Amino acid sequence: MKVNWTAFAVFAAILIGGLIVWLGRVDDPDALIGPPAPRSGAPAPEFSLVDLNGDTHTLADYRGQPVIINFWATWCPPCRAEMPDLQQVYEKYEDDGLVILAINQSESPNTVEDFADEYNLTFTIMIDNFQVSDTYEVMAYPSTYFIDRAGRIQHAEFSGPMSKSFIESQVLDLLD
Amino acid sequence: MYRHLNIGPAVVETALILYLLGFYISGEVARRHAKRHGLDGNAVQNALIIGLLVGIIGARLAYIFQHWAIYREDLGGWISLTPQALAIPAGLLAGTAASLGYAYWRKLALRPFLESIAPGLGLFMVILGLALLARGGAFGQASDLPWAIDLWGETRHPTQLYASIGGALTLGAWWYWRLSLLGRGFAFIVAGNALTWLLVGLLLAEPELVLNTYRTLQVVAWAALVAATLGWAWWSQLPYQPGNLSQTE
Repeated sequence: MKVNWTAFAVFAAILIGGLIVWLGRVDDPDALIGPPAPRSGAPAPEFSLVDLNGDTHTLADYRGQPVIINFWATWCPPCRAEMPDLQQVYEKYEDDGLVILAINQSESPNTVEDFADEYNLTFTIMIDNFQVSDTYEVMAYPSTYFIDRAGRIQHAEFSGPMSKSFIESQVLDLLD
Repeated sequence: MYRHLNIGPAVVETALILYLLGFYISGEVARRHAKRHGLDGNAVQNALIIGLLVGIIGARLAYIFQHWAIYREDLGGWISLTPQALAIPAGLLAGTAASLGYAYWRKLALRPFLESIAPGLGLFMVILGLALLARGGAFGQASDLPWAIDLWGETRHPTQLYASIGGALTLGAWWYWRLSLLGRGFAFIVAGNALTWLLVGLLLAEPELVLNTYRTLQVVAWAALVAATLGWAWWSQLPYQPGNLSQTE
């Protein structure tokens, strides 16, 4: 009997490929989430910082609300460029529970306050001494994390400036 | 993980540089290789460049249409440089269609065209693994093997390197058997890489699932493997004739 090797190869690809997919099935998707880490899909690492008014903010306080964490500095041109857009999006979705935690990198409170006044920023601004930015493995400014109501990072953006539309599209995904 | 590179005052994503480098090298390899298949190398390279450009534009337009309510009021956002504002699957489809459409328009016969780009595709898949490693994508499950890498708070299987190694082995096998694979090289490269990602998928920790159970990457790799095997079977029955459409018709 002549063996049709071509048909055999196709049949083997379907069967063996399907078997490997079946072996790789995930019965408990939550088991893949892993420990807190600064990557999409993982729980956002916890932190506590003091804002410009002296109030302490812990990330866990905002569980149940969509949160944007933005690492920035006044000397960083793309950070400056995207701040007005962040403010506009914040004003639009503040009533929906949107929280923006803008974490400045180790600049003086006066410098940061002057900047916030100049740009009329009303969201929460905190100053970090590189501890939180190290936890989030921030290597460039701005770096932005979009965190859903469950405290998981839905998207991490390491380039800037982000456009207003892009910020808003990510916020709408968080609000869904 | 080396997510960023400092080039002068600019900070650039390492993966982006690797993608562009991989595309450039692949295009050059395809251009040189096209002559062996009786095609104009520049036309083949142009088809790839057009595919890239249309792919990027298509990916952005698809992202805009997905978020139309927002973007219709912000035309500046359409052309913003935010690289994440892209719908990648739509971009891949648009880019592939544009490449093939341009190749058809230039009368590049499909089979020699695919044969021309096969080694470049193989090289790109090797570089893709390195780019994923740089950005921490397609990461593996926790492991205490001696070669495990520290990534996202745990030591993990270096799945990206496994994929690169699989891609390199596929490319090496193609090179070794390239004469007997003539006319089926593209199917071989696709099948080898699809099999690689099917197996690598067993060790992935990324929670991208189909039907909340099956790993998306594995399902895509399975479809690619079946398509490549069907292509192999089809082309095995047909004699291979290099050259463009006017020569082959």
